[in-house]
Amino acid sequence: MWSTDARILLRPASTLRSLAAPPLPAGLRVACRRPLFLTLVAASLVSLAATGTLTARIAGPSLFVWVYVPAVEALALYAVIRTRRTQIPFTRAIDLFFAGHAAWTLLLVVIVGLIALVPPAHWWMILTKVGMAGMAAVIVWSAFIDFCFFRYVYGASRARAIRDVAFQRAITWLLVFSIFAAPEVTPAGLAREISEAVAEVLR
Amino acid sequence: MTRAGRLAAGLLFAAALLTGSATDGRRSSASLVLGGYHVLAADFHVHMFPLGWSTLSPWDTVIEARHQGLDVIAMVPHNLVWPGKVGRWFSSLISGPIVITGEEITAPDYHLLAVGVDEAISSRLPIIGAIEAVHGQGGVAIAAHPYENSWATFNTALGELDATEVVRPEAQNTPRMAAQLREFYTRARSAARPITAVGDSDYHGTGPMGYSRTYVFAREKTVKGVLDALRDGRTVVYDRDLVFGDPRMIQLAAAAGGLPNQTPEWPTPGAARAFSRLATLVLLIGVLFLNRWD
Repeated sequence: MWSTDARILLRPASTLRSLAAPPLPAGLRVACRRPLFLTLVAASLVSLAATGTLTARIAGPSLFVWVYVPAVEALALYAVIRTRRTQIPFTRAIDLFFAGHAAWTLLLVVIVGLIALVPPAHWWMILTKVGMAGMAAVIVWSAFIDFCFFRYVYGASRARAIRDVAFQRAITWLLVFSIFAAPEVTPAGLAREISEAVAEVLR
Repeated sequence: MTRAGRLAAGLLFAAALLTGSATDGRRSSASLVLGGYHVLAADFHVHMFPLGWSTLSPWDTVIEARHQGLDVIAMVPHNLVWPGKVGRWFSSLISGPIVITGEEITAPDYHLLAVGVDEAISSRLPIIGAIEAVHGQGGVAIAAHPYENSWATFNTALGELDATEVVRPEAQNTPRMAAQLREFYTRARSAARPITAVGDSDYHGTGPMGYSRTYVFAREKTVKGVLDALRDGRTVVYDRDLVFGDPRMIQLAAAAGGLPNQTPEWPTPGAARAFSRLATLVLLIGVLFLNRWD
């Protein structure tokens, strides 16, 4: 009954181990389906946050803007696994990697859903308390899911899988955050943006 | 998820999109002339994607401003100017609202809105130097969210600031924050050079732009007219039953039966809108957890 994404969310190790075995569907459609679903989720949530409804006026153009996030994630994945000898086609790897994205997707849906459903008086609490606590939990659990991806899909050792997660995240977060938030794309500029953001939350 | 399930999900998405788009009505602009002044609804603190912690692109930001009945917005990225220029260009293409380019100078000890500048101003300048740089480009300097933690810096520039945010969305819902904004405004008004009242939404793509807004009494419907009005203090800002700004303009507005001062409703009202948002949320979670893709 449950989707692959849900099973990976709850039991990442055993699910990814079984999915790494043949048959291995591949191809452009397989590679694009989950990144495009993620883009659709992002565009829908941008519309909900801005207008409280799903509108073509906002969701349509936002598809073209927010496709940059899965694109960056896929590029970062390629940077990490490009030299690996494996029977897993890269198009299938993209699909499996994005199947492990459910924790982030669920967090975004919950936060934006709450924002769309409750009066603004509660937003600050949602963004700081619910958002921060949820993000901390998702960062940890999704790191474990990604660890399982590199460990069981690519057969990496524990140490190598940890390095892979760190490398993939460093590239993804640096690029996504730089494009989303940082006027100065330098380590000092990024550090300043993050410290400013934390200060705003603690204000 | 079976083929029938996918079809149902597709139809639900289409229904959510259609009802959401059909009920996405435009708020009317104030479009008033009182005492020879054009009364313009403005939001001087609007961020955009990219590089600005916002979700909407410059063009969507401009369209959203028009949808919220705003006649004027200042697009003020953090420590940058160019994304606002994109918005200004797009607005000129669609005869949209007046877009004033600017920057939120984001320094460790203060945030200052430089409204009406075309070149980025360094955030490493001390507050007085930053205000001088804003004035040097013909812009207006507005204290951004002047809460207690930034008073030590802003207090050194009371005679130099042109305007201050006295109403903001989070403060409209938090008495402690509202009290701090009002206390700073009252103190700044008694400085050698009186300060202009501004209401801003500090828009980052969440909720209605112009949730807190400023009514500007401009001699002409141009960037210059708006900046002159800000320098001369000709604004009115509402916070539900409270009103701030130029007493003469407040009187003009009252004599005309008041300005549209109601705070936008959120969650956006109506059964169709409620259906659109609930259907979208249910659908996204449903597809995530039930669709097997293969």
